[in-house]
Amino acid sequence: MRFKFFTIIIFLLIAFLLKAQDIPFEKSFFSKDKRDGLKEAQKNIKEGDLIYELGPSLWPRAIKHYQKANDFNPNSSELNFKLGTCFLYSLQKSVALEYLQKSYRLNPSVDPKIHYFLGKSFQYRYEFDNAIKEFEKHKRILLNSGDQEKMIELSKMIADCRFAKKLVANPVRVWIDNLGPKINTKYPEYSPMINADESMIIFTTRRASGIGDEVDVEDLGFMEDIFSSYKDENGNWVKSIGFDENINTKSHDATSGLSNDGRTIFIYYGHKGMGDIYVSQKIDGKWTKAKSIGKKINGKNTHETSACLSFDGKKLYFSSNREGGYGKHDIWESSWDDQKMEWGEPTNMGPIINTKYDERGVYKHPDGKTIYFSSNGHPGMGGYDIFYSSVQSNGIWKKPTNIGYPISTPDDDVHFVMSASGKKGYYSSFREDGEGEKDLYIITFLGPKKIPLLNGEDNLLASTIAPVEQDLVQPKVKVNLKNLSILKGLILDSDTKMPVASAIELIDNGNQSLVSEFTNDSENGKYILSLPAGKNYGIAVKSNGYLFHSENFDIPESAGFRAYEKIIYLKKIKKGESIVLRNIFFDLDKYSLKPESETELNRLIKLLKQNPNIRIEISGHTDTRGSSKYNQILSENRSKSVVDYLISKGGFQNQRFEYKGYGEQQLIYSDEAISQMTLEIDKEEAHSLNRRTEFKIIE
Amino acid sequence: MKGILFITSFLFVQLLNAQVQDSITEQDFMKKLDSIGAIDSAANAQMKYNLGVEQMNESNFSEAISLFDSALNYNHNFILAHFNKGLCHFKLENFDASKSIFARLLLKDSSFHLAYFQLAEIYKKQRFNSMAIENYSKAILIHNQDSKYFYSRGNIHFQEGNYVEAKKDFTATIDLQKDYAYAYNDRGSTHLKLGDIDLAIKDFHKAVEFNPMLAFSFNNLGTAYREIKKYNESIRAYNEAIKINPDYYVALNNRGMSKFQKEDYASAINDFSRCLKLNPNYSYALNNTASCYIGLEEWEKAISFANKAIEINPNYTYAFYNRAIAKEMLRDLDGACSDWKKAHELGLDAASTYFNSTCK
Repeated sequence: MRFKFFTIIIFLLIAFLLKAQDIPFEKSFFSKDKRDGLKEAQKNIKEGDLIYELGPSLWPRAIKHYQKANDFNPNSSELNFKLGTCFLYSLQKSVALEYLQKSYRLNPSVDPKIHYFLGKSFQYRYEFDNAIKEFEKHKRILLNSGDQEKMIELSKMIADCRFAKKLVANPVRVWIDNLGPKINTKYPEYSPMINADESMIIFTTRRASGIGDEVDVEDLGFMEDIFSSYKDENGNWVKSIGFDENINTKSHDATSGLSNDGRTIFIYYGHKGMGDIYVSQKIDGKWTKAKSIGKKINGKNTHETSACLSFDGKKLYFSSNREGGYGKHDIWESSWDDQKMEWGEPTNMGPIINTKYDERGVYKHPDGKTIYFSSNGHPGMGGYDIFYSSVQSNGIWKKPTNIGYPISTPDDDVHFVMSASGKKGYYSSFREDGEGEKDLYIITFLGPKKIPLLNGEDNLLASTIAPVEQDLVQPKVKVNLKNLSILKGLILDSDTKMPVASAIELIDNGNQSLVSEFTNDSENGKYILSLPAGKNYGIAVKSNGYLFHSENFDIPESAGFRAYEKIIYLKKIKKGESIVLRNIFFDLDKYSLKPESETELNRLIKLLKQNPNIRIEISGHTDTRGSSKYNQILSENRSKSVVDYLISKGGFQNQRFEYKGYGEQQLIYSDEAISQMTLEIDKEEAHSLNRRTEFKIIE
Repeated sequence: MKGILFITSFLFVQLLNAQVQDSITEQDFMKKLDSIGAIDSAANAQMKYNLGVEQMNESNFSEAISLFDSALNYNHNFILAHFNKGLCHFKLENFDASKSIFARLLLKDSSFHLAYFQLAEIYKKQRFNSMAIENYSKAILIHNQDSKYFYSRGNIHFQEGNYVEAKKDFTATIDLQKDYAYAYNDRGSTHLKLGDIDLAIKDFHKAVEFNPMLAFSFNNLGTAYREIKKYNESIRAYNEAIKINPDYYVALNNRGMSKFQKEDYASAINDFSRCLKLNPNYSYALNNTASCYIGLEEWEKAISFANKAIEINPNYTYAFYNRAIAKEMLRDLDGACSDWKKAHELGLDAASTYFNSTCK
């Protein structure tokens, strides 16, 4: 009995002594000679508290005040708690843990949320097992509070930690490189957007040199501005510059989206807790004054943030917290109404994509199938993570997949864009090797681990002991190559080599429908088209006073990613000029026109009607496979078929046409040139370019 | 007649005594016997033939051919002399002469399966495998109780990649000769090629059960275990092969490969290095060392070993392929793409996958 009594006394004494280590900033705890120091420390705490009370977004600014006080007395549980929480909301999140642990050691009941913050600190340091333990402890504390919402949130955080362990164990193989000082500064840079060929980048920055040089009183940082940079001829980014007043205002201006051709940007303008999307277009080398994207998209009391276009510019995807969604911010889509010339009524992308939490930072890949977005609702590592999903042939979206560690982290990861090839990604992050604050980074996806090949020999046949080679070959990685082609280049006058403002028609030759119509950049002649796989595309480039230019791209479903670069020279309508009609098709060894040729022929009819005084020659050309006599006859018959069509459908007189078969006399690629090609695909392409129909203005 | 026989016997005994006493050669003895007309042409042929066989056993094939010719001069229908003469020509690699002899023999006696077998052996030597199979088959059709006929045909089927046929022949061999260790080894090899790894393992075990010194069977056993990812068993089997033949660099290289699969790169490198000491130009071991350094993410070392492998074998696809992996990780994308392209051009399909995904 006596022993028990003494044990209890000793235990209480130890507990008291441990507790006694917590030294509050009170006079009674300090000797007289330290009173001045105490006063100064109390002043610092007061200054820090003033900021602390303004909310977590400003907590990092309280750190310097609290740290001064902490230098005087490092053993206050309350101050250590505050310092820890301040660091949790700063860029140096990993520092938070030591303050919070100390706070807890000094006084385990320092704050009811101590385990919650300890859990967060462990989570940021990738110590997920410890994080789970702390969250579980906080959950037990909350059990009696009856706060179901908090309980659910904690359960999700615990689930995220478990999920994070799996992601960290199977990291995505990437290189992450800072985009360098031409883009990044010591101020925050974030929300990068790229065009389809990665030659242009726009992003949000809070640097001092922008138009919004005023300071935001809420966080004392410079106002956001939108900057851009372009790649020079060596593929290096040039010094980034801010957009003019048509886009950047004195308030916050943030990137929201960029079209594939880099000529339409979406801007987020925030105001009083709400925000809308605005749009600006580059016309004749200048960005137009940003205007609201439309009432159907920007709701009255709603918050719209990111937006992006589909590859053909006919669908808009954006995030909004409007009513009718599944949670806070959801991703919505809207179709362009050609009649009303505005975006139509938005529809929610549904519960596969959207959760009861937030989905933001939407980006539709130019492959026309994949969507990237940020969410804090789908299973992640904590905060917002990056997810992707692709639409299936039945129109239903696949369950979103977390892009994986190290792109997704326990911190908030918002605004990720993937290059057209699927090999590069762009995002912002705070990293040790940065220029300071958040910087923009390029991610190079290395794909699944490349397994080396080994080999040796086996002495399989006993009688001969003749070495029989035996290989140890590993199976193929699935490379998730994007199935699309990018066609880009310049449209120039064939004589002057100056840019020509042109319209580009994209035709689906399969059903002879117009997929979309684009324009090029009249200032420099640049154009970019995304051609998702699975179609035979006809492309016609048109400009007043010029012959149209025709291209054909047959892109099978399994074509993977290919980038084509082509300078298109438009020829003036004048005698002697000729063009190749790439979208005229015949059956094999026949001269009857296939229905897919109609659009091209009708285009030619239109040209002839617009220019009633010209006479033309239609010529047929073949490759060298088959006898030359046969090819000669075939080409002649084919050119005649074209002329017959033009006369019958266009109502022209015979005299306007001549037709001629050149067989294999005017090859684009000689047999010798083809024989020197190493790849079969190149050889086939050369043969196909030899097979063609041309027209030439003869009068 | 009796008198002649008596005299001959008498002289024969005298000569025999003389041979023993003077140690004259048997050839001289036969010459003397012949010079006195003591033997008739049939016996003469017989004796010449026997002398020819003795020369054959001494690997004096040219001399043997002369003696067989002598025998045939006495008796042109002496089938065995024809046969052995054909065999001597075969040993001297006078294949046309040899073939002509066996063909003539078969014209005389179409059921002479040994001649078919020998013809098959000539075709095998000349790498006319289909002709070899045809002649083995004819031999088997006439006489299906000789295990070596099946075994030999099985070998050719195996070399031709007709593993199912090879398996049948090796099984027939084993049916005729239950303890034929080589046949178990070779049937195990056909199982290995056919992907029946468990059966292969069983046969290799049988081979070493009947002949525990078959290092190559232990080596094959190691490979079979590696195929089914039983790397410890694989390494144990290679250990046995190396124990039997410490200079067996092929087994050392193979053991290194199994260790690589276990990601025991340091130990694998040690095996490849031992292998290279025995055969410094063994490009496989050089390439495999490069693979280990890729596993260890020591890219420069990987490139250095791949370079050595390519220096020895300039068309070594795997070395180009592996060097590209290391170059890519050192961010030398141009170099990596050039290597994958080269490997692809040399016929390695796997290289085109990476070329297409990384370089285009």
